Amino acid sequence: MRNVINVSNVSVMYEDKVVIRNVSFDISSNSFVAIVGLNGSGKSTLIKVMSGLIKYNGYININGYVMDDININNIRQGMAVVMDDIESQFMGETVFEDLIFNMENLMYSDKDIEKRVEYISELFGLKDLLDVEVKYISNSERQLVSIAASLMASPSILLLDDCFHQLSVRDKKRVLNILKKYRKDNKISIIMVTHNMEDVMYADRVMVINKGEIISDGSVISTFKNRSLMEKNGLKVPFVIDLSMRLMDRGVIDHVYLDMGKLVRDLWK
Amino acid sequence: MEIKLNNVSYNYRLRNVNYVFESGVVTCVIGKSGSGKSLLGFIIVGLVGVTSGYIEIDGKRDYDLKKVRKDIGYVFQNPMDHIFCDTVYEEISFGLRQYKFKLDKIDEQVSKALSMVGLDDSYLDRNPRNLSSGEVERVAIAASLVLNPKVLILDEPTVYLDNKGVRELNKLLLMLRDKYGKSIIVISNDMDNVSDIYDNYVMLDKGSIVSYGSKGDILNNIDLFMKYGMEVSDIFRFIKLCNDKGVNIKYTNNIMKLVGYVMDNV
Repeated sequence: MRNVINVSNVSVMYEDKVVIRNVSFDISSNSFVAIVGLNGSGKSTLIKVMSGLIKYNGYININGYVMDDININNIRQGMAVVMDDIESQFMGETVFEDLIFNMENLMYSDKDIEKRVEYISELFGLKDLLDVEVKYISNSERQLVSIAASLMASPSILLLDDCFHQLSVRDKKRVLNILKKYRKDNKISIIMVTHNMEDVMYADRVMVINKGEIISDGSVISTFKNRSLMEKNGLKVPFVIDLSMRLMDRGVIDHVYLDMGKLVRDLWK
Repeated sequence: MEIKLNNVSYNYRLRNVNYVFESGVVTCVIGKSGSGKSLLGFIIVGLVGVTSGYIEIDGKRDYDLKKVRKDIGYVFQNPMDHIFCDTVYEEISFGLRQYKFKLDKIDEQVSKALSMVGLDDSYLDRNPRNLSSGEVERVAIAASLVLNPKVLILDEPTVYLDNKGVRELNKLLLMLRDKYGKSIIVISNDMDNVSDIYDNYVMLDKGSIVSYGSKGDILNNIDLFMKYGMEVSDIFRFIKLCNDKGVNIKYTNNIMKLVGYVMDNV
């Protein structure tokens, strides 16, 4: 699989403070990467760096383009970013206008736009809201719309910055399942910043960041199994994995479960 | 400071709410999204008026609104909604300046409020917009605490916090209750957090109170909370799945106890 993001020796300073410290990693196509860490660890800054929103030292290559003033527009055309501040991301008066904003600016045909709205609104369950003005929808619906809108122009890279706050747990799980499937069907790369360890279970790779440095980079289960890493970084192991590991220690089960229902069924077959 | 709601209604969104927020305790107002929790908070602090009924604060009906805003601190759900100054110092000291506190007293109170929320003076000159969401949350809480309110209302305070931040917030809230005798009202649908800190709880659904209780009652009402669409913690969901399968496991929020119960039943 080819690398779509290459970050090499990148550092960022804010107000004389080092926020990202000499970070290097690659992200391949068709991957779902979670970036976790405590508040202030540099997670969101990393997203802003990758989306070309802030200055940095080092080297970044996205989809074959070196990140600089000349290539930034090409990079942004293949990328979508959803920030945690939903208020700042609405461009249209109605949900429909907001969904089509990007594609209109990229001069897609009306026919292509219509087809894409049909697909994305169906996928996210937004059909009934298309004609509703954004100011009348709930915060949870706004967050759903902003995530849906990010996929309208078919980006190959989706950056999500802690953007599930307003969603109920049920809606969040639904969206994460949609994104997981969408990623596989369309071979896009998703990079998700989150402080909720339950969200991480939808990813296939986790990077743990602490004081601007990446201190761990591996699979979801191997990361969660590393109790010392989790404790030192104040990260909570998701309940079902924590319970699985404790039951494994006692010989009750022989592997870690990610699905609570399956664990219950297998415990009491 | 006791806050008593007497048949409080607001259009169709809050209906005949009767409840007493006791002084010096942590009360959690819980309910699913749209149940009227935040609206209740807005009404208590005077941001929204009632359409019928009335509120008594410390036994008085005609409580001066300016005094209410000083005695009842409010922390909004999105901490960025609090931010309008260019430095943390200006942000936190804003209330003190409005109430014409002396400059040396302002500096002292700002430092004290900052340290109460686990931040130090190195944050004073920083732009709040460059802080992490968790740090902004703490600045917002400090800005409310600086006026030494008797009651602190926090609307979904854990949404932007990581695990460590939640633990520190809970420690802070319990300290404010124990050391400073403050009344704390936490509006939340985070059952994980609520069950760690509450003395009392009141649950809303479609604008009405459907359940209320005190310490320990939450564990006896998990099925009720699920019925009203509350997002209960994973440990409770697991136990419910076991109970639904005919395996009788007592509700607990202690994973070690749960392991024991599972082993007893396997």
